[in-house]
Amino acid sequence: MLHAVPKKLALCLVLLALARSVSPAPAAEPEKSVVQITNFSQQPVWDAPWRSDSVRRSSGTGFVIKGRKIMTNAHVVSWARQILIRRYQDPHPYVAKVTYVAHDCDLAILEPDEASFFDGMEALEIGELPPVRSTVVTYGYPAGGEQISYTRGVVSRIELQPYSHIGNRSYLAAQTDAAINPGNSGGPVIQDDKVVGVAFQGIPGLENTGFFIPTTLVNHFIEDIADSTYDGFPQAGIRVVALQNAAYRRSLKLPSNDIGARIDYVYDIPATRELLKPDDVILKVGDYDVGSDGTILYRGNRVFLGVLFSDYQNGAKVPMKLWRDGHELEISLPISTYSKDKAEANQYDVLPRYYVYGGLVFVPLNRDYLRTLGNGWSDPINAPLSYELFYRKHESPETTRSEPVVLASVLNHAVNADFGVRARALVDKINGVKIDRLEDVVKAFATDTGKSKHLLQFFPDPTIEALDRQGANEANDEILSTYGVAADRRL
Amino acid sequence: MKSILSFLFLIAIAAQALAAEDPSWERSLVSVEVTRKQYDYLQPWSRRVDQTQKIGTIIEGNEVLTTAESLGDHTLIRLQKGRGRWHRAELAWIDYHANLAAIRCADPEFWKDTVPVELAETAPRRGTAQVLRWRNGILESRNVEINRLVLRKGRLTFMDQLHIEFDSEMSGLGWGEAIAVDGKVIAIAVSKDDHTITALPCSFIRACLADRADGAYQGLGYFSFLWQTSENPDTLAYLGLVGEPRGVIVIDVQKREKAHVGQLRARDLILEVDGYPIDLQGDYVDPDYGNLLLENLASRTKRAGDTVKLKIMRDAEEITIDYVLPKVDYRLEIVPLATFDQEPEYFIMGGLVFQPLTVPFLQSWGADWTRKAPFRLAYAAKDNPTPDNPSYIVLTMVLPDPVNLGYQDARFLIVDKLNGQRVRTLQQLVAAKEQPRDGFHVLEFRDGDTLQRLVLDAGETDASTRRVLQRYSIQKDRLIADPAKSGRLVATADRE
Repeated sequence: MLHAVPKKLALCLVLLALARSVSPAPAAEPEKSVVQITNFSQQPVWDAPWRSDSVRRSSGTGFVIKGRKIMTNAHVVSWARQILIRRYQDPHPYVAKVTYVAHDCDLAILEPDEASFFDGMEALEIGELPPVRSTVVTYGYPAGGEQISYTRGVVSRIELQPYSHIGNRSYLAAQTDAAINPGNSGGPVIQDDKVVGVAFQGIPGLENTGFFIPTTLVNHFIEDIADSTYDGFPQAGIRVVALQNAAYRRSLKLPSNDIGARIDYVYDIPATRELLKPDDVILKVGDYDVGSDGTILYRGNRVFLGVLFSDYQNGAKVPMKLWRDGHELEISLPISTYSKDKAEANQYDVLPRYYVYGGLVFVPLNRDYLRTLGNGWSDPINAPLSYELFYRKHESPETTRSEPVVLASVLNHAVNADFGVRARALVDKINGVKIDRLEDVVKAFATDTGKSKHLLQFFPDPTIEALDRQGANEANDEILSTYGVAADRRL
Repeated sequence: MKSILSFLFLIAIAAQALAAEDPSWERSLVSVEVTRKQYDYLQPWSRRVDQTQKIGTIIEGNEVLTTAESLGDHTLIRLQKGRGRWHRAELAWIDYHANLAAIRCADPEFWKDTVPVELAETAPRRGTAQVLRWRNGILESRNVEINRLVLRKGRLTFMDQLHIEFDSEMSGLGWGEAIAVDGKVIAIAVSKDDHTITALPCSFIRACLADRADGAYQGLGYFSFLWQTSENPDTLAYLGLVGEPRGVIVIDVQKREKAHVGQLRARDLILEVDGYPIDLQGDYVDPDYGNLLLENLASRTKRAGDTVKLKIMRDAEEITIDYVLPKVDYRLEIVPLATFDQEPEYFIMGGLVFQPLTVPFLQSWGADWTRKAPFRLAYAAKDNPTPDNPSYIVLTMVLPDPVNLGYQDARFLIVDKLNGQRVRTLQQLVAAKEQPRDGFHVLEFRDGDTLQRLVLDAGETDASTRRVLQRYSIQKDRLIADPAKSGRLVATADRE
């Protein structure tokens, strides 16, 4: 045993030496402002929404910013039951809570329960968007060890990227070849002792590719919550496509000068539809000239013009120069947050809605529920649900329901034993009443129709199934207690 | 070593004995060789030629009966008796939906010493049968066990048909092999998966041959309504069924609307079909085969255009309605299941390639196309056709050319309009192209989450089309079937 001791010591010394050589100038010590976050979280079961999965432990990184706050990623603290934070080289675990969370841009603010947490800690300063090719260092507590870890890399490129936490939004993101691994999430990316970004995601299968949230979004978040509520990023509500075809430009009487991108589709936002229409050409947004490929020159990077709208706060007006009917036109477009596509996004921290009647479990159709079905969205068995969630509103807005309802499962009981439809069926009507949202289900069952049976009709195939009204009413309590369902509804 | 040898010897004896048992089969079964065109729907102007071998059975009237599969788009058919020479032959009759075809041969030499088989009236429901085929010049005969008779979707159709299944370990089956009992053919094999041979039973074949024999071929009819089982007594009670639980529930009469819509309504309870009582699962008791799905009554003795008597319960009253069987037709579906004997249709305009949306096109993504093809195209196959929307035209690709610069990535988009005119067929597309708007072609796609419109210069389009044909070595700018003469093709605008 004796000979093993010096060997171990030697190894330790080597590691320490390496660490010291990577750490930035000793004058500033950002690592002292970087914290380790442990989240004990619990997610609901989407097709049995009164239940929860077992408690999971995950970890991430955070850092102290001005105003005695800790910034991290939203995904680090989602579905939290308890959050513990640890200071640099301090064994004491502090309990913290989430004060603000922005699931769209994957950022969150934590506050520790004990104010003493901040003793001797300095807030990190938020810097600018770093230039491409410049060097950055990530600080964090990634998997593979317990101590703080530093990785150095360059800013590889900066452009619009899908943000996977929310699942249906894209914002500016910076790519770096500094290793960003699980546990790095929420950690600061540092350049010249300032935070230039927050590490947040990678792409499975790609090597030396990590992404961080640039400070333009970090500052947007901090500004947004200055009034103590988080609104989120406003959406322009337009689909913009390149306008590079010479004939298309001629048909719009536009010179072929590589300026201007075309609006192909305007979303159902009244204020937007009032001001913009398809085939309007966007020449300028704010002070930025729009290229024919739909990009602008944004702080040295050629990026898609959509990035500009995330510089504005909810309710702002964006000056735009358009080309319509052969003339230039200046407008000021009011933009606000868009929530009509919420069901298509991953949702967090709010327990799922449901209603149980006669053992039939009804849930709203959303991305979280669809994900629990497995097999992929385009699998024939899931295709009608995918169409309903993602496509119908574009193709057939007049037949779109505000919240399609799914019969997610049937809790077996004598009263429903013959009910033929058992799962993943879209509900069209109950007792002849069209089901537009979950509340309609509750109302339809409660309304007296003068008939002894309820009749449910499904879609797209119009299968029908009846359920005995009196039997279901009488069986409700027994079913709920047998299956341990505390309440028949969460609306 | 010795034991192995004698074992082999025994097998050889056994095989010979079997073949010797039924010498007449050698004079009744033939090999069929089909040479046919095959298409790549992602390059609809290109084609290759394939060859398939299958088995044919000689029937009365100097004809060879076989399955219709792989006879579509044939360029040459040849027949071979035993190990003899190949004889040129031609198609006498084909019904793709029934998956049956008859081949004739003008060479009297071929018919010498042939013996037509006898088709049994009905297939036995259990027991052992022999599957017969030519293989490497030897007539093979092996025992198979009859498993069951069952309704299932035909290989080449959307309608349910009666099939008979056998258990067998043999491989390479499903190419028209004859299956016989007591010297009579009881079925023709259509497919084989795992350990099951699926075949068309003799009664189904006889019905098709009888239809053909009477001169006016009616073809197969089918039930165009959707129904569901009645296993939930609460549903039957809701619908006002009087008496014992029975019958099935009609849920949709609009399926394939271009077809006949009878007097049937959703929520009618079907109690009897042509006098046969229907049970809760939708079965009737067939006099020959026992429990079978009611769908069989559309083709058991009836043909398209015939009337089937449906006894239904509507509002607690029993009534009988005459249901006229619509004829099966691929064109009844918005995305046709097949386009036999029809070269892939397309139209090229300024490098933009347009094609009708068909299942053969979607099969470019493989047998698993419902999962792998672009979601919006695959899901379109579920749409119901309406008079306004009988079919779909898709912009399938853009062959890059200066004229279409900026549109190279546009593909798999369902077309809505060209120059303001609704486009659901290639003919409509061609007609709309004649009426540009202010010198431009304005192409609009179906509402969706993808590109909505693009514009071409009408003055430049034709020159660009010629350039594209030249550059991509395509002979014609279009291949459009004349709807009046289905199956015959119209080709214009030869390559310069």
